[in-house]
Amino acid sequence: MPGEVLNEAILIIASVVLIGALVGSVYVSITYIGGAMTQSSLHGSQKLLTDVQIDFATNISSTIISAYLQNTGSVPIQDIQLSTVYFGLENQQLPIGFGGPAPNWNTTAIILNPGQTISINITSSSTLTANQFYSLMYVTPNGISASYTLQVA
Amino acid sequence: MVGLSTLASMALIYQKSQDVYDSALQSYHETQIQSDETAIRVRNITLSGSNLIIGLTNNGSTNLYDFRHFSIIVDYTANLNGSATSSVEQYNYTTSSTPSALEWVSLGGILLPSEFVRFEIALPAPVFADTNVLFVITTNFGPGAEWQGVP
Repeated sequence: MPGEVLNEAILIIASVVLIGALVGSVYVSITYIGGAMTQSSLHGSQKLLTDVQIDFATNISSTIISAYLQNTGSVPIQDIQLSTVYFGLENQQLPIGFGGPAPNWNTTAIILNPGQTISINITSSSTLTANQFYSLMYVTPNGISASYTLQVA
Repeated sequence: MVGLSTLASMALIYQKSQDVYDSALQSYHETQIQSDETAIRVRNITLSGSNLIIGLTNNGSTNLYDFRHFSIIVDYTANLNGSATSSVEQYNYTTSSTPSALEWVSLGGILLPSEFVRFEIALPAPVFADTNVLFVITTNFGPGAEWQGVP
């Protein structure tokens, strides 16, 4: 009789421990999955609300292009310097770095608020060829892009 | 019991995430519609001293009044004490009736559909005689207009 009670007690304790472990693992899984779903949803929402366009671009010297970038979306574009800019002859654009040696691009802005327009300067490593068509593409840190093609004066 | 609770929790989390996304989607659609329904046209450009007077019509169906978020850029040859100097600048909106250099003002208030309005743009220096002016304007919704010629 005391043996049966002991066995029963061991079984109850084991069951409680097992249920606790199960609930704990399910809770951890739900937390992970829920976090991922929320992040994915926020990321998708941010991309939907992000939009940008290049209003105008022209060469202001034989090596420098000045471009005007407007936020036509509903959310600010943070950390402008983390954006990617592609520049070169039409259909031959290459990514260029922010600051540093030419070719490079630069701006004094850090954040581009909805509706705001900022200027960015692109410095070419070689002299721009007059009457040739050049293209530039700006890509926000979250992957939304805008392009512009200009003929160098 | 554990299974049911898991399913209920997952459904709640999914619904919450979906609500965030749906709200963004709704906002995106509204912005797209506003952008599609916006159109402006430059009717004429004249000079008034060293200022440009731009005549614009609203050819779309949106009300245009958020001028602070308009973008105006003028690319022209300036007359700096008799020498021709290239100038490419962005101009800021002001509500002052006498805009300072690199500012612009609407001379007729907001721009409603089918209406005509004049904007005055204060150039930093007069336009060099008989040279081209390139004027670029974009609205807060994105669409804009360009004009190039001798004013």
